[in-house]
Amino acid sequence: MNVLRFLQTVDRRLLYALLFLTVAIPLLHPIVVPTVVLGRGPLGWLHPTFALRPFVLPVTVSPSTLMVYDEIQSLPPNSFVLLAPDWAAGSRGENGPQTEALMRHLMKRHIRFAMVSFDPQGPIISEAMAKRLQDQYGYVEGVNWTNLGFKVDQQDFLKAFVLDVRGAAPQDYNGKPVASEPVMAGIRSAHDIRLVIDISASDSYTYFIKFMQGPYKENLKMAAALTSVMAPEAENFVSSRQLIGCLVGLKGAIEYEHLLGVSGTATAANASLSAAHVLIIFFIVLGNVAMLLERAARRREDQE
Amino acid sequence: MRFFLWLFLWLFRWLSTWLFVPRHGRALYESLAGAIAFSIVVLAVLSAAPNSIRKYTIRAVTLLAGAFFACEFLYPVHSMPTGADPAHRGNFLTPYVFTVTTFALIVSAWTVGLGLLNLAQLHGKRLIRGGENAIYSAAFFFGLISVGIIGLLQKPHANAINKNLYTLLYTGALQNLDATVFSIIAFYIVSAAYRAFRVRSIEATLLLATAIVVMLGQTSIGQVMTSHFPTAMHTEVIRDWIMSQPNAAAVRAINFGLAVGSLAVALRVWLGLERGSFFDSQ
Amino acid sequence: MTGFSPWLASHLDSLMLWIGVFCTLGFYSVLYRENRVYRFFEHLYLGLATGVLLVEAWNDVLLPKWFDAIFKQGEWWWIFASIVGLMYYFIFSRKLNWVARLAIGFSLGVTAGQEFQAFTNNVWPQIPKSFKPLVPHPALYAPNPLHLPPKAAEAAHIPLLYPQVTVPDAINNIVFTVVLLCVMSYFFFSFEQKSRALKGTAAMGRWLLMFAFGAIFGSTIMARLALLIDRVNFLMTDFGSGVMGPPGPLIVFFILFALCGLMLWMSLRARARGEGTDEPS
Repeated sequence: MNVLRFLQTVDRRLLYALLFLTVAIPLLHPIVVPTVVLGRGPLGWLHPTFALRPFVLPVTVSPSTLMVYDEIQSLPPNSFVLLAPDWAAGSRGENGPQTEALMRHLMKRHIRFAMVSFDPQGPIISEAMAKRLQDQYGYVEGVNWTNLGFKVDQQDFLKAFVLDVRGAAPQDYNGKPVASEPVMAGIRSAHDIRLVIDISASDSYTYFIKFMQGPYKENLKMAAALTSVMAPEAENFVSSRQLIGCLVGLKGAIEYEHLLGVSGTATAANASLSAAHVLIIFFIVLGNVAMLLERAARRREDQE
Repeated sequence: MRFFLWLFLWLFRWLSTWLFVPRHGRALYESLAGAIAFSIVVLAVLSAAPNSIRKYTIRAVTLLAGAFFACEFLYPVHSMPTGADPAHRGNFLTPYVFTVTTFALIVSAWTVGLGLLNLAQLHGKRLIRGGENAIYSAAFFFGLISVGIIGLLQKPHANAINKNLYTLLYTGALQNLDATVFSIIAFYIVSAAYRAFRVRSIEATLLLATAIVVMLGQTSIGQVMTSHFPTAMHTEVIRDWIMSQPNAAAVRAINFGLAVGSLAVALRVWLGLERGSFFDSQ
Repeated sequence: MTGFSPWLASHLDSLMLWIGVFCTLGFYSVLYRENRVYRFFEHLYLGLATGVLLVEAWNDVLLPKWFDAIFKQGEWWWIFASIVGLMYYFIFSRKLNWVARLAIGFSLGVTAGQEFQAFTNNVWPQIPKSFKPLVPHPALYAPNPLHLPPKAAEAAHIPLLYPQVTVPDAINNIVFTVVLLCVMSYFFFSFEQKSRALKGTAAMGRWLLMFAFGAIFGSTIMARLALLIDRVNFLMTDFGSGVMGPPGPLIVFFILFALCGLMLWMSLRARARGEGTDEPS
């Protein structure tokens, strides 16, 4: 009964502390498992060796992530991609690794891209990310990539953008005329864009579908990288092929890094993510077990 | 009808070649003054008009603003190749889409100040009144004024100190605060998972069971747990199936309902059929 | 001031980290209970976010499209856009409130007019994709007088009219169609559902919605945990390594561990005294 009482009245701060430990410990040190290797000693006897080896969590790539990867892989060199990092620091945990993984892939494939954002924080965060990665792949701002900055009113901007790219976004984020940048050579309208990727924590991808992918679907494809909250709704669009694929949250970023053969921030967070999920499932089960035990105890008391 | 349409288009073309031409120097300021005076006169005339005229003017503005885009979309398109875009298709309204959407974009950008004024009013009163909550309003104004001034100075005075101060406030303070606000919810979820997620009904059981399968399927731990089972029983396979089949179907059904509802509301607003505090205004 | 700029440039990274840590821990103080430090940072956040929105709206939209267009390119007619935009501010006036309604009417009209295109491009492609084949059948090719098998037909460049539908595909399609129809019938509110068949499918739809809600719920948990992992990573890795070097993450971990212990001790002490710190989360 004392245990039952404790389970029913446990302080929430203890739960918070347990969550912190579950998340922090795997980040501090990789999960290791004890392994035993049997070898032969000098006298030919079996000689066990005990060792702690890092436990590598398996990564299975979902079809939705693979479709995005395959699409970028199949783009001809010098194609033009519109990347839309429509996210703020509030969703950096998921959208940040996704943006980094997608940028790495585009840079690795030598594909030109321009970034446009409908969130005020988007241009600053994504520009810093691109500048950090560009040296690794020999990319230069203005030549291989550019940042078109923040645009208010997504609906009206896209209606203008699809007809006249340079007119709708005459300057880049740093004030340079877009027409003078080699990356924008030959890009006049949506007909010249091969792929749009919206990285978002909201439903901004639906505006791209309504005003960009829909009218230009013969040559323009659309993919999305969304937070896990938005991904279930986006499955509808993946099913109808309006989106060719979708990266789902941190898991999508982990899968994409696995496909790229890169071990970035997402892969490092895999163990913490798994451990925290197990903790929450444990709490759900424990809470319900405590409720059932309490009901049984109350029924017994009523019978008495 | 055709005559009036021709007259309208002729007038429009005449205005665009004589009136709506770029001006510089004194002529520019005269044009600006003229535009402001014209707007004041229009508003004064409307102000003097009875309420019913104003109501119909608002409805007419709504109808015309919507009619442009509705007609541009619904009117048949034909090939309209341009030098830049040989595959371009459109109708007689398509060349004006860019101008109208840029106009709407600038109007939207000006509305950013509405929320700012509201907050400034609220916190300004609190600051002037004093008391123990005044310090919080001071923090609000400190954040607003510091990042506002430094950010606006960045373009005309793009020096190192402006850039670094803006980076300090933006990347150092705002981004970290933004990220932390949403991460606090994770703690609340843990607390709710223990205290509130109870299987009190069959629907709740089904919901929670689906959630647990999805949670296990989206983590590597679930894959480790079921790696020795047949492929169809792997948590990630089950999760992918749930997301792409029943979930996608249910979301599509909800999407259909939402889309039809949005279209109905849009039609009612556009045609002035909507009732409510805004639409039955003075 | 001449010494400040170089000092700031050289210490920018560490200043950003320290400010970030104070902001993060200040916000996390609410996990113990509502307090002044948390409220201070909350209001600071509000001010910074509003300021950034203002700055970005000017720098990225109004400056190039309005200010430069009028005063550099001489396109004076864009002043009308600012006049319409400023009409919104009459919403604060009781007497001239109707002026704001003109501007609101314009914006509502623009949005409503675009709804036709939005509806068509959003929903139209989904309708034919909802009619899925429910019966398994082999791939169908164009007239194939030699009755070649599928692989040979492909090699002979005979166009594929309809892809193969396997038994698992057919089962998936049946599930999809049943869920779609049941959930759609659940959302029929335009008329009273008198028919038993319709009531039955609507009830079934309500059950099947639990799959979607369960999926959304499970996904939401991952979203929130990912954000927390990002924050803990910032504290331990970015700040720890950036300020304290290689042992930094471990030191920060122990500091945070000690703070957790302090929080638990304070709450147990408050409980023992009978003070109510255990507010609903």
